[in-house]
Amino acid sequence: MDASDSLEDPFLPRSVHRQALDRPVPPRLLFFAAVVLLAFAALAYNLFALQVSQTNRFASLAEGNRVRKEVVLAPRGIVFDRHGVQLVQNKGSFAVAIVPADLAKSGDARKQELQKLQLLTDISVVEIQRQADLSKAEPFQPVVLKKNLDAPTYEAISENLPNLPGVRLQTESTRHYLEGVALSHILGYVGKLDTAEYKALRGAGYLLNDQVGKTGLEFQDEKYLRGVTGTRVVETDAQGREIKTISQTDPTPGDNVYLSLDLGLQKEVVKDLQETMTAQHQKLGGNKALGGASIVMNPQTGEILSLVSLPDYNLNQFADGITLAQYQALITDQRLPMLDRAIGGLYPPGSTFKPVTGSAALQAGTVKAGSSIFCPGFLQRGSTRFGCWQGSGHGNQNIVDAIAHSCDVFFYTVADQMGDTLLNKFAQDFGVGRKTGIDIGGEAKGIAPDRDWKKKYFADAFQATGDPGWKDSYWYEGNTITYGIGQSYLLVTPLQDLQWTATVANGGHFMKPQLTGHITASDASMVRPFQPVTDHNVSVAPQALAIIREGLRAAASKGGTSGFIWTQSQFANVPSPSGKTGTAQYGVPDAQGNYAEHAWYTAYAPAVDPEVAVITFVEGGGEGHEGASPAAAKILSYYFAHRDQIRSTSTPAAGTTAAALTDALPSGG
Amino acid sequence: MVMTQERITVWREYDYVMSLFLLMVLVLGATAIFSAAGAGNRVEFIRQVVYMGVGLGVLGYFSLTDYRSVGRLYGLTYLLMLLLLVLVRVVGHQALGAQREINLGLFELQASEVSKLLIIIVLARFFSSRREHIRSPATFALALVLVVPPTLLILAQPDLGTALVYVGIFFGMAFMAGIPKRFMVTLVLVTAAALPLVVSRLQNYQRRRLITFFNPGADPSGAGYNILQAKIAVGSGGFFGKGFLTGTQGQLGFVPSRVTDFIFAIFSEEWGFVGAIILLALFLALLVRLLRAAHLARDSFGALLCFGVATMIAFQVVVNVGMNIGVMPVVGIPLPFISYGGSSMLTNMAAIGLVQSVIIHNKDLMF
Repeated sequence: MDASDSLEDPFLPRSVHRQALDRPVPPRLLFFAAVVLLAFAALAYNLFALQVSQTNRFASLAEGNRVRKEVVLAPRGIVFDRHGVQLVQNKGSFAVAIVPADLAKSGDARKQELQKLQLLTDISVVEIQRQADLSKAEPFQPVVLKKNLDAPTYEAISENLPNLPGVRLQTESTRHYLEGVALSHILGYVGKLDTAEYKALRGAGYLLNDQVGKTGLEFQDEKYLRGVTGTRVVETDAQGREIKTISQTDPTPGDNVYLSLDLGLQKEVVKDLQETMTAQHQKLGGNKALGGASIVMNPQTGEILSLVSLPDYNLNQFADGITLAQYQALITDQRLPMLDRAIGGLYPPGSTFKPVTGSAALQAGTVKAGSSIFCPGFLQRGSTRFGCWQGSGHGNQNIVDAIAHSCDVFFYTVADQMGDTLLNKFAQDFGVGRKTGIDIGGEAKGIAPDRDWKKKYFADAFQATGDPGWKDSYWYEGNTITYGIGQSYLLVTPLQDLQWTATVANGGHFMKPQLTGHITASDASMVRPFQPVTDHNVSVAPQALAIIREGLRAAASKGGTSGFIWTQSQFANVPSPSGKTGTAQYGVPDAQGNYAEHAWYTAYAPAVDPEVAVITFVEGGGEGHEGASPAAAKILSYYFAHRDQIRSTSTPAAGTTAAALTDALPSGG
Repeated sequence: MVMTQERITVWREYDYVMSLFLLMVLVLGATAIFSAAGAGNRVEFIRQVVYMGVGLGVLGYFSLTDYRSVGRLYGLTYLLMLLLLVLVRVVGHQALGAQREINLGLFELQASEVSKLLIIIVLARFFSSRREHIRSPATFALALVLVVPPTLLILAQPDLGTALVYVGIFFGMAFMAGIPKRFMVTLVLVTAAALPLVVSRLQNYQRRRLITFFNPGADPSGAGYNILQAKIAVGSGGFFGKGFLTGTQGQLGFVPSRVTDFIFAIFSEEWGFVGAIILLALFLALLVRLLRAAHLARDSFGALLCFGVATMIAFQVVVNVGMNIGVMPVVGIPLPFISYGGSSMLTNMAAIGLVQSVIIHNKDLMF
């Protein structure tokens, strides 16, 4: 190592290299260098284009990748009875969902993932693929595959999540009906939107995966119960897993609905009606007395205190996701448990219609208050004899007697004198042939018959079916005569029957029946107070209705058709009851010429300023005084035993929000 | 005295500027791996740093080895390369539908990576030995005979990327050696005519990649996804980048093959246009030093060796960055010194080592 070397710049050993570097650079090397330089310049140019010129576009694409906006469903409003007894519950549960856009992308990996998912959830690959395809338009919306996961399933999926891109576990709120059976027809159920509903509702902010009230109050009060959805902006990774929440708008829980219904009374009605049905079924056999309905209302306000249709079904089956087998069993059940007989079943009302015939006859001047008609036990018209239920006859009957004894001949006669058109006009005034407007769906209109109706109805039916039975559309005198006692072609729902009874009872006001009492917001403020609605006042003079009420009071007294029951000491707590039995023939007569009969009873109390009206109806239940009135008496007796409690209503206590009443999640993982 | 002379020579001739550029690239590469591997996974980062350390040792070893001794055994080198490539077919470890690695216990050797350097040595030695007959068609034909078998073996793995690097190295070195241009043009034309046949023999995934390269929007959630996500990463990085470890495209896993093929996208997302240009400039500076070495070389073998290494690195950088920014097809070529992988790292380090050896031994003539 010599001194001169140590003075050299170690990084540039030029003394050695000068000679070599001084050689001319070969043109091929220069050419190569130029090509490399050009290639690097092209890369730099493209980088500039991406990172400087178009960076905004790519930045928003990256943001769109990273950030996902999610809808947070509002806790659904709670339904209470009139005293704030909770009837439904939002139950927390775990569900497994897929985000179609995040599922494995390549064909093989996708297949493997779906097979794995099938193994874990028991849902077929085909079905999962179908669900994923359904939401093609919104591939980032999670689609729930299976709800109410049990703990082992939850854990199995949870462990496999890292290998299941686009699969997530989420908490779900499902509806649980605390009194599922007694209230099945009233509350209805919520379910997943079907395709048509989704199309109709997506504009209103419903999601593909959303739940909507399908029947009953859940359907009717959907707009109150649903609440306002919130949003959550989350950061996700490429597998769609949430990394963190960026921002969140909380949902507003749905409003709480307080029914006018009294849960205690409802249970009593179910029990009493079931008892009567069971007794009559044992007595009559066959398929008799297997269905029935009963409604209790305040005739002054239209508030429904109880509404029961038997048999009923378990709402929680629907809420939990009913299986096809369960659903098949329900809809093929001969007893028609899904039918809400109280508002959707149509039956001839029989003698319970007589107050309408009587009111019409008085108003039309066909009969005077004091005038009598002689009942020999039948009414002869040409060769046809229309028998009275009491074959021996009632003798002279004024209108009060006729109602008290339910004399058929009296009402045959006045109907015949009035004519079908006039009688039918009054019947319609009392709500026959049109919906009452009760605030749950499923109501039937029924038939208000007269000669015009028959002509059209028969012609249409003949046209549609070709059945010669529909050919003769002539309105016979007999059609009018039997209309007078609630037969003929007359078909009504039990609610319609109760409605005219209540209208007579309250002096002529046709009140709109309402199941929903008041509605409060989640912060307990009043959204909609209860408001009685007078649909219309019937065109019958109050004095005429007073005479009818006199007859109804007599009917429920000693000597009247249902007097026997009200004289029993156990029902003595019911003040001045009034009521009308009905035994309505239906179907075709048997070999002996005997018809099957529906049992009806309508009643209210007290006689002056009645505060409660009730109807009991047993399908094929036999005679009204036997097959219907015992239940009605028990119901009224229960009502008056608990009168003050029932009549009160509760305002919501602070803190009874839907959110607060939502169950904690089950501990699953 | 000879020992001392040798030591002084090494000390004085060694290209420290090249090493400085290389170290800067390695540092950027290490940070890129650290970020791309993702928080909570330091395994790849640690392994890569180990590869770098071992690689620097390999670099030093080859610097001190006389490159001419490496060239002398070129027949053996060629056979070793073919053996490796055949071996990988036989005992190779199957990964992603391709046989690329030979399990050496501690380390999975990627034969195709190592063979890149081996073919450079073989071609450099071959062309330099044919210097007198460089314009003869026989020379070109013999060179093809040397190059085609390993290329086909690599293509059969299948590894389109490395095969393309081979083609690049071959043309670059043939050009530099002075092979008449008309030979090469003819070869290109013949190959182009035969291309339909090659395409028909491509694996489906390779054909799909080629197709999606030309139209990445056709299937944004399928094969075009990779390209699109990489472009989004680069583009969203903007001028100054999103910052270290804060690139959403990378950290949240939207960019595929983050530590290997698409590490440049991760780097560009976090360091922006500024970072990307600095990295490219470092590569360019490194290439200039390699070309300088080629110019310095005292013999044609040394010059071709340096030039071959320059071609290999330039080709890989351009194609890899190009595919990261969507201007080149995704063919699976790593970014030298940056992409994760031991075989690639050690091969590139050895290559730089040989170049340093050429520089160091350049002045032998002077003594």
